[in-house]
Amino acid sequence: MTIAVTDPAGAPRRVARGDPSLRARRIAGFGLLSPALGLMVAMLALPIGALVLLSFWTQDGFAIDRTLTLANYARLVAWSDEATVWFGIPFHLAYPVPAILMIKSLVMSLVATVAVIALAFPMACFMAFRVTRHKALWIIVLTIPFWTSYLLRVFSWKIVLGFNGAINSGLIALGVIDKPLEFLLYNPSAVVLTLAHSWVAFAVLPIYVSLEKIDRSLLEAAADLGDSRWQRFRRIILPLAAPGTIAAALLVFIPTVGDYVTPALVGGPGGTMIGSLVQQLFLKQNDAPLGAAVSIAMMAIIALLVVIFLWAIGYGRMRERRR
Amino acid sequence: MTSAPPIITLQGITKRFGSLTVLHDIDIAIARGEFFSLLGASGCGKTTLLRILAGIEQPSGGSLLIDGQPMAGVPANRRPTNMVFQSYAIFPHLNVAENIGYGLRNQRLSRSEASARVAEAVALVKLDGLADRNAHQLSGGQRQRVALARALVCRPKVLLLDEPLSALDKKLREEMQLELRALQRSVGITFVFVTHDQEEALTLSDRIAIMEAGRVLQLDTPRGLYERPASRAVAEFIGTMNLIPGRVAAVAGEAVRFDAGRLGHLDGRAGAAGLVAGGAAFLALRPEQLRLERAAGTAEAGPGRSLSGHVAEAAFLGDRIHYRIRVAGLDRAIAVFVNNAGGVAVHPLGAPVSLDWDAGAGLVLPA
Repeated sequence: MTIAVTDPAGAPRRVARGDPSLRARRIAGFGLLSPALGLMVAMLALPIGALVLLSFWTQDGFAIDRTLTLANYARLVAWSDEATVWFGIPFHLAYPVPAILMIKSLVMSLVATVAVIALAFPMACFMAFRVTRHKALWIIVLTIPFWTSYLLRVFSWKIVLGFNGAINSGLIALGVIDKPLEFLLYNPSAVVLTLAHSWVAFAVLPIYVSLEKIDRSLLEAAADLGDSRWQRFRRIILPLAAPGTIAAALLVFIPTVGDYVTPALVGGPGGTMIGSLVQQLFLKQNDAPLGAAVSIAMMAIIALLVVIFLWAIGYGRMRERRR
Repeated sequence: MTSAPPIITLQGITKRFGSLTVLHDIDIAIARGEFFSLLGASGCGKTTLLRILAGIEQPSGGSLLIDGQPMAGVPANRRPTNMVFQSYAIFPHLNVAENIGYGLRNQRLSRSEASARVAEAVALVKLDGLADRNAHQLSGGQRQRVALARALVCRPKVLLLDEPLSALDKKLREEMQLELRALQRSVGITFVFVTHDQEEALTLSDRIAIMEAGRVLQLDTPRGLYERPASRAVAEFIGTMNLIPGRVAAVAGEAVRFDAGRLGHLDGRAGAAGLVAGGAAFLALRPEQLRLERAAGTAEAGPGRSLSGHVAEAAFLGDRIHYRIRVAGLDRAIAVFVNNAGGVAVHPLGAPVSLDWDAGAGLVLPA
């Protein structure tokens, strides 16, 4: 078999696949790739493979039954004549908890993602268009809160929102209320608020990069052609920043759906998410195979939703035109 | 210039960036329908001046009138000007038709009228059949046409062009120069054209302002600039010019007796006002106005209008022959262009030659 390659002089030539220089280059390529590839296989592909395998096994008391079966998945969608009603939606499922938590998690993540983008976009705009000097300093300032651990940051929201927390103590000291507000903490809103705060800096950077890449002469040209400031934003900045903004939204949405630390700390019983269920199935209810099945189902649903979303908005075409 | 009021009046326009002054007190009046060029090396302030006309930059001082209206405080989006950017600034997320129609969305036009105007502009710049192309599928020349059409379709009173041809290869550039000139005549819009290419400015312009270090050195027609450069800088900038250093020996009206040191006294005419006897000056001679004769001492024009030397370099260019003549007592060889009218003998290297010129060809400029 022969393949066409271009030699350094630029003239195409045909070489046998066994060409030593080509093989050396290919080996060098794999050599450069291998640390990342090795890490990906060891830390991502193998665990996911193990999880998939585990989801086809079943828990039998304290032992694991290793016969391959779809029983776990069947449990997730098993029909029941008796409906469990959640927010007015009837779930005709024998085991409705995973389905309900999945939908709830998606909605909470969506709200958090929208909040993150709403916060991050103006910040990125400010850094890209208003800051002219010391941009690196601004980026460092932005990341300072992230020098502490994720757990501490989530925990600090507990202190801010808690029964004797900063908001309640402050309001009592000001005489606005006479006993602490209990609705601040341990509910879905607290989870969404904490998630939004935790992820906003991660969203600023991709949006900032896409804004920074916009050629300033495009904005001058738009002004020259009669656009006001607002029209320039709507007709030039927004469409050109869309790919970066969508990437930022996915960067926030995908990991937050499966988060379990935040719901565990600030969510209370009402703020549990699908990740909390997976954690419980693995560690408390001693049904790892079912937990694995819930995980895999969650991954599949998120992947499907993301693909449908990107296809619906024409992301590929957008990227291509943006170059 | 006609007696009609100018379309653009610049008075005392000054621009400072921090402590750096990039434009000093610019006064220019541009006539309606004129093809006006701002010519200068990079960093001379020509682009800044164009951006002030567009409203992208604000002047630090002075006044600007466009069509009689003062432009102070009028933002770029409300000026009767449109610009073709050096980078073309084609909107990457829009196709050719959407790019061209961009400015029309801001004019109160019906949908059908707008699309008719776009179609007309597409035809005007010969982009037929490319209306649905995306920006990144266009060649450099096509992008340039889109940028031109996008500005022209808005029917500005003044079209501003910032080195629109500099990114194109030579052949395409020459083609586009002719098209641009024809286009300007057909649409009748005033063009203000910024370029660093003197040949381009000469080809296209009705009048040219030559700029250096934020000042206008000279403002004249191409022919005026070529034949009557008022300073050494302009003489060197436009075309090729031989400059013989020396001093003014005597001034009698237009006629100047020029003391070229070891080369003796030469005749010239005053190129600028304010020449005084004894002042340092240059005698400027155009290479194509010099005649070359074989063998020394046979020049026809007499001692005041001739030099002798030997051929240091000869280049045959087909339509003409370029010589460099080494003259004893001059640091720089004299350039002589001889037209190849057929049967012209090429002088060999090292051959002794004499050169002479007609009365009035030598221009004396202050140093």
